[in-house]
Amino acid sequence: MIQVEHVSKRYNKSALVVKDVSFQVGKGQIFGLLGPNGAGKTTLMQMISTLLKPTEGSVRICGYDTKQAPRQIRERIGFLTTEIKLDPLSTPNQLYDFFGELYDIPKEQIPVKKKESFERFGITPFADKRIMELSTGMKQKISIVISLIHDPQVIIFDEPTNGLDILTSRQVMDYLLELKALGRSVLLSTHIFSVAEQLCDEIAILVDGTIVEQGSAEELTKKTESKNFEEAFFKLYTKYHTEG
Amino acid sequence: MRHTLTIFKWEMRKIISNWRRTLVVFLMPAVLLLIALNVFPLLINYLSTGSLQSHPILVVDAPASFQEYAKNSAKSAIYDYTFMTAAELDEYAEYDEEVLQQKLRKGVILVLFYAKDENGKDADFDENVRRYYSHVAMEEDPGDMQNEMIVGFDEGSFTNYTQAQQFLLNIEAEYKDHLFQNFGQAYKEKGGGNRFETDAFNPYTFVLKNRANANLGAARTIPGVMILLMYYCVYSLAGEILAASRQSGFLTKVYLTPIPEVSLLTGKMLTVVTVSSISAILTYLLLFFSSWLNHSNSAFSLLPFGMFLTPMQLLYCFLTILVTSFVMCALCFGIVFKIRRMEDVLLNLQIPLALLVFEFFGQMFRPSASIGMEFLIPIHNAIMLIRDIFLGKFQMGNFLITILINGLLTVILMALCIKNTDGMIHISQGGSDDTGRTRK
Repeated sequence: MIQVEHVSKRYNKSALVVKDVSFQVGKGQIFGLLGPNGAGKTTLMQMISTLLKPTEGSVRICGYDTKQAPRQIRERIGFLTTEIKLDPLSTPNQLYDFFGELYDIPKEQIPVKKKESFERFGITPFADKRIMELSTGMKQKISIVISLIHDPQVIIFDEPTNGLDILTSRQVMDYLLELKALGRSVLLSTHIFSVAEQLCDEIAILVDGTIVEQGSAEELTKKTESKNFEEAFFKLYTKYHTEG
Repeated sequence: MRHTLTIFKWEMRKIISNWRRTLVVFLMPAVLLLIALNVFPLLINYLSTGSLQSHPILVVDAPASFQEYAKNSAKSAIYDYTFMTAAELDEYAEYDEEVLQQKLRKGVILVLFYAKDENGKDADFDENVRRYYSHVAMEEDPGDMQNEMIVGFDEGSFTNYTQAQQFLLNIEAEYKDHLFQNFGQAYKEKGGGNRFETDAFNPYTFVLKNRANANLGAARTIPGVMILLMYYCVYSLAGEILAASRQSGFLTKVYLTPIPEVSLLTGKMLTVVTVSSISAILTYLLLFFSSWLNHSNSAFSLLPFGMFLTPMQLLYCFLTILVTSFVMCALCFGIVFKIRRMEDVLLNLQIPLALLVFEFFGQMFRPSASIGMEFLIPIHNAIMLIRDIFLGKFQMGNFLITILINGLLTVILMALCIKNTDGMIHISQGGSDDTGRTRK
């Protein structure tokens, strides 16, 4: 579903932020990108979601190239990041209707889907409150609902549990597992080991813009002869990270 | 098209549902304009006279008729008269000539009356007028009778010259009528003095008479102020619905839906154009009513009484405004898509605003007519075209050039915006590039 081939990204004339990254995410798979801040996770996810164009290499989603057919890709992906905020003066109801129209969901289906999604995440009592009046967790739930309004085949979540309390984090993680069971491909970036370990079928360790190792949490632990996945990450990071 | 309308409806709802924003967009320009309209003449008056009160007039040897006229005439209400005799003036001038000179330099207008009878001897002004009309009624030669009102001012100051001319324009004819009504009874009874005006009963004649002057006056003020306020509206809206929306990340959310970039931008552009055009029309209406409520017709009045455009002239004005709001919006969008930092975006959006303020003052004092090459300069050409419409010098060729230049620039700027979306739709808040520099 997602094919990233030799992708590099350079901002203006600066050095490469992402260097020759390649990986694939299959159907019904959760793929994690794990790395420290500044490793290039967000840039990579923005290239995959068509927000940025790769300087080199190509990204294909469901067979479409991000450079050639960005619209077709946007129809098939749901992208969520904590950086993308909802309009603070609008209500969840208004936002759902607006994005429903933008995703060409038939008018008669919008209320039905809205009711179902809002009930699933406990948004219904807050449906007519303005976003600015809601808690961080509730805002994140609304963001998820709106990102997945069109039932996308590929879901890209950048730090999906960032800033959330334990209960909401758990709810989000459960939902991602549900999506996986439904055959959706999920690409998520995180710097929380437990999230990566529990959710991801495969994890790519990103250090200074390069994937230094890739595999399941178990495989990575074994490969680095570590006691646990967290130790494995630090060993890899120390080995490959260069200062400056 | 459907998506464009969805974006348009969404943005319009946001503007209308937020009363604070609506006030800022629609009422702020109008309120600022009203303040400017009232403060500017006061400021000019203050600069020329050093006083914020009515214009000071020093009247020497005023006849009783003038004192009575000054007391009762509506036009006299804008002047502050000080009456003294010639002897008092001499005494004052002797006592403090420098103060008197200073007063004149500060814009005090000196009005002197004197009258000479048939024998060249000093006479009472009012009595002399009465006798003059008696002579005329009796068909007698009035001889060397003289009745003069001399207006003195500081010739070194253009402002004082204008004030004096305006004083004469306001007072002279009306005071002459006043004299005739009071002292010309004998002549009037003989059938003299009644002016023959074919259309004196027709209010339309009065309107047209004023309109010719008012439109000339309006040509100095309205084009600059309308375009300036429209840009204020366009830039605040563009800052809000594009730059601020990008900063918050909401623009990214919309961009990631499968709608074409062109629909996203045109939807937002339509909102800006609609609101700014409505705002410009409201500004025009405000100016129109300001003109029709301005009965003082002061020299420094920004909008003299009676401004009026024909429906066709109005149509050309509004079409010009519409196409100008498109190019302004495209310019603002272009700035937003070229600069990432919100502070820099706002600063750069304000540069055209500052230029338009200069242009407004330039137009206020510009004596020359427009020249052909000026119509090749976007936005400025709109000001020149509206100015020409008010001056009655509208040319279809200039109108078409203005529409073409501004329309073409809009298309070019929008195409550049769409081409430049890479990395400009989403501004990463937390990421940093490999040099450690944040990408805000």
